[in-house]
Amino acid sequence: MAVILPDLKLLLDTIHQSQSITDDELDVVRLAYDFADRAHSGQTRISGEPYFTHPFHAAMILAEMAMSPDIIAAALLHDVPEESAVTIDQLKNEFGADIAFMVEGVTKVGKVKYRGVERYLENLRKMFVAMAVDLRVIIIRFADRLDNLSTLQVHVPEKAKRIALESLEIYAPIANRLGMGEFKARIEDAAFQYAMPEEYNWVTTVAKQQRTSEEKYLRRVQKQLTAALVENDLTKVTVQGRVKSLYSLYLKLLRFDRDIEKIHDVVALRIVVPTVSDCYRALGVVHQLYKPMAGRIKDYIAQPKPNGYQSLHSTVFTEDQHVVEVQIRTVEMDRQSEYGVAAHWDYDENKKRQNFRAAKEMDWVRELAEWSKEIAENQAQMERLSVDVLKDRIFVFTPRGDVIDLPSGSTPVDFAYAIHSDIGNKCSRAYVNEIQVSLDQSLKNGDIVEVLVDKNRKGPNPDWLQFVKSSHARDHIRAASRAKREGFLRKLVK
Amino acid sequence: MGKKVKCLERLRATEFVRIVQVDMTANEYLSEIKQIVKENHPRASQAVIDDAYQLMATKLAGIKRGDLDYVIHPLETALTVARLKLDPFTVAVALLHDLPYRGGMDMAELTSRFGEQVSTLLQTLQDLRGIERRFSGEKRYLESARRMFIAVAKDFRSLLIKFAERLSNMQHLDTFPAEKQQRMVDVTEAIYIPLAGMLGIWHLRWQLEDACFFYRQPVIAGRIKKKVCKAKQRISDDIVSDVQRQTLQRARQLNIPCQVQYRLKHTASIYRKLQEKKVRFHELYDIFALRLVTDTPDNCYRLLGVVHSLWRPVPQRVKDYIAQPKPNGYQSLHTTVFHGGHHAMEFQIRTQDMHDDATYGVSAHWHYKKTGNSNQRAQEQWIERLMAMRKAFEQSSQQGQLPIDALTNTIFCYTPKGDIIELPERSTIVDFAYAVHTELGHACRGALVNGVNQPVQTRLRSNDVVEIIKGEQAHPRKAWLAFAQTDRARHEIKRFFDSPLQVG
Repeated sequence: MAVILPDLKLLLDTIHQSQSITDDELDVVRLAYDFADRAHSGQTRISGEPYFTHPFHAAMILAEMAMSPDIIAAALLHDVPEESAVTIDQLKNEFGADIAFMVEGVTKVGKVKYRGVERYLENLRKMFVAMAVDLRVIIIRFADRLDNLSTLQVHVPEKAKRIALESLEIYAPIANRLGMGEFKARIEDAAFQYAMPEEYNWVTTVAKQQRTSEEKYLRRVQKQLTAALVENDLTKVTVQGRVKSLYSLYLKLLRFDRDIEKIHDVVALRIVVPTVSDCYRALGVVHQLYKPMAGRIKDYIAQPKPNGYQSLHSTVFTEDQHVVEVQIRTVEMDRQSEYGVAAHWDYDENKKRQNFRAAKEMDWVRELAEWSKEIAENQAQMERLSVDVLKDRIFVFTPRGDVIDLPSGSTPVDFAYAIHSDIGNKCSRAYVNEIQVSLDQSLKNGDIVEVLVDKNRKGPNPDWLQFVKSSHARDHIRAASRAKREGFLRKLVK
Repeated sequence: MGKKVKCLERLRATEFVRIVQVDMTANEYLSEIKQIVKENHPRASQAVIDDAYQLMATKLAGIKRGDLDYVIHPLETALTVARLKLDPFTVAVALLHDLPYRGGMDMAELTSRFGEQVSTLLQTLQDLRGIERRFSGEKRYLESARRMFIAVAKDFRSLLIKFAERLSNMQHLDTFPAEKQQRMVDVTEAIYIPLAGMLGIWHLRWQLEDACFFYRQPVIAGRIKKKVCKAKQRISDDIVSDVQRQTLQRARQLNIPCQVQYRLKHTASIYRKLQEKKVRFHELYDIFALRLVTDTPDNCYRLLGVVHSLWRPVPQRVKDYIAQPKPNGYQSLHTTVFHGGHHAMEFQIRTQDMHDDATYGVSAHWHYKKTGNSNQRAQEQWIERLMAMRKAFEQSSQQGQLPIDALTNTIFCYTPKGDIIELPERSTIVDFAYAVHTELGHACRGALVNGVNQPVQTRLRSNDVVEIIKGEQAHPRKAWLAFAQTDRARHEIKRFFDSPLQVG
């Protein structure tokens, strides 16, 4: 694969293609390009290319994703303080405090001292803190990592594997939590072959046989659908056919006995329309054309996922025994699903740094940073916390319709503590979807959970520790039983 | 709570049996009937109704049933018939239906006054009464049902009058002698309720179910009814008007024509749901549902968007019965939304045509036919269904078997292509295979149920997607008879082994 060498014109053209922006606004990119190019001059990477190729590629990735010129400039500069004599203060003078701040953030996240498990935890902690301060730092870090993954072949296999695994275990889940579907999928697919070479080869072979026929099928269905939509006056639509990314196909295969025949959603169809009302109309058109499978209509427009994802989903039967999931969304939602929190930055220009912090609905980002600072010295706790965040999440509802976001496998007790520690401490019975269940029952996505409290209850049952999944619940149960023990002892002493 | 229950239990059952209070005079009934007929048939003359009423009122004057004037019964019957959108003539027959029996009138006299058609209809009603009288015990009710079908096919109107008459009687069950009540409930449950369901006249079916429920479980029914009344007071005042206002406003902004109505769930089905789901009353989502009625299917989907933009949907509650109608033909979009507090609320969104179908079933089509309204295709479909049912009844009775299939609860499974296969509850993979095709049944060796390999005797549940795995030989097993549920599967398996080509 020929490496694309740094080329300012190519970068500028890419930015223009992905967003409408005046040439003047790109001055900062031009300046950063020259500055970084000069700072890295004479340096080479292990592969022998000029060092500047790497920051350039990271900037290109962000340009393709229509990120703002400031972020692209910071990406060009992100290795300058680390790899050259230029200091952060100098950058501040040249490019202003905002860009210098981003570069400094990226540099800090990148510096990892430890090895082994400690390295993993340190990495996590730094990512969490950076996220809380300025999400743009994480975005640049993702682009940086994505380019590193594409040049892994220059490293010895062990090092390549370590970087790839770290990407799968830390970067991709965080991208997912932030709703950045595009980064998640690209990081996973780039890391997969280095992290698990044999598995990668196996999935590639399995998928290859499937893909040619699937792609033909997709094109056919795409045509039918487009025609039907146009016929119903939905003219400004795009219909895309998508083949599942290799890594997510792999994860799914693991759940289905490694048998690709059992997986029905190898492909998905995506319909993008101008307005929300059109989404529902399009749903009607799709259902007229293909019979829907009962119970599989999901309205994430009215009820977005916790990471902000919005779309209408429905699974339908098309021709020849095919079952396919159709996703219907507006242009804006489509962008949100790919770039998550980063999707809206280009709409409000010239805002101060504070606005790049996590939005209100992402309180967990801030909380996370707080916790990870507090418990930095306690390794076991940090491990649990990271599992909470990086593991798959489910979202369940209170009877009033409020969304509670929990680690998967959570129980009514976790739910109770997530609402309030008092409710957790005194919970006595639980109803899931109107049916009474035991307190250790695993909850599923979309469950409606109601917890009844017993006012006379003294405190939580220590046995709950055996099944709760969230560290929040676990900490509270521990604390409550400790307090109880202490109270008991104190009574004895008196 | 304990105190309240005791108090309710002290009340005697009979106080709950009369579920509809008569609070109108005969004249008020008559004008209400005429009003409804006028709405549905604006150009038709109503003289025949007046005529029939005059005759009926004189002939039945002074007769009582229990504490009620007897004339109320034909008036209620006629009112139900009018609500089913039937024409003035049929409404008149409903008014006259008791005259040969109770009023001691000669058929010839009625014919000379109202014409040949009246006596034909009345004769059919007499025949139906005869069938009902002969009905006794479990086994023969299906036979009666079959014969009723034949009668229906002669003239739907007679059946609708019969249903209306039955409804009036059931709603005043307490005016009948105690020994008769039990039998009337039995017959209603065995014949009328299943038939009303098959004909898609849900409106009638629910009311009949409630009447039977009030007889069988007076205390519980009374308790539920009280709660429903309370819920109704609470709901109809503040919430409905609020929901209505918000929905209409948003719909208007988007130029979607829309009417908002609401319906309360009927008592028997609330009870069934409370039993099945082991839930508490206030957790039932659909005690009352809001109905949005619009013009086109396209707008139904847009209204779904409107509702979801106003209130958050409860997950996995969106059901598209427009694209995938229920086997009885019912079409609607359903969704449940959170509406503050503990109240989730169900919405049913449909076009006017779908609404008429759902409420009036067969009679909706009758109405179209009479008024020359379109919807020819829907009507044809309905007649096809009816014919298919008749055939099923006839066939199964020839084989000397009971057509259990038609009356037990059904589940709905899918072929991998998305075709619905309707099966009785407890059906297995073998039943599914035979329902698709006899050869597929013979060759069946198991199936992928929702993608998971399962053996032939596996019981299916509604919504399962079933892909039959075929063996190399088309050869059923005798052992299948032990678990096959459907007549069709059992019949085909037996036939395979009885066939002369089959050795051993």
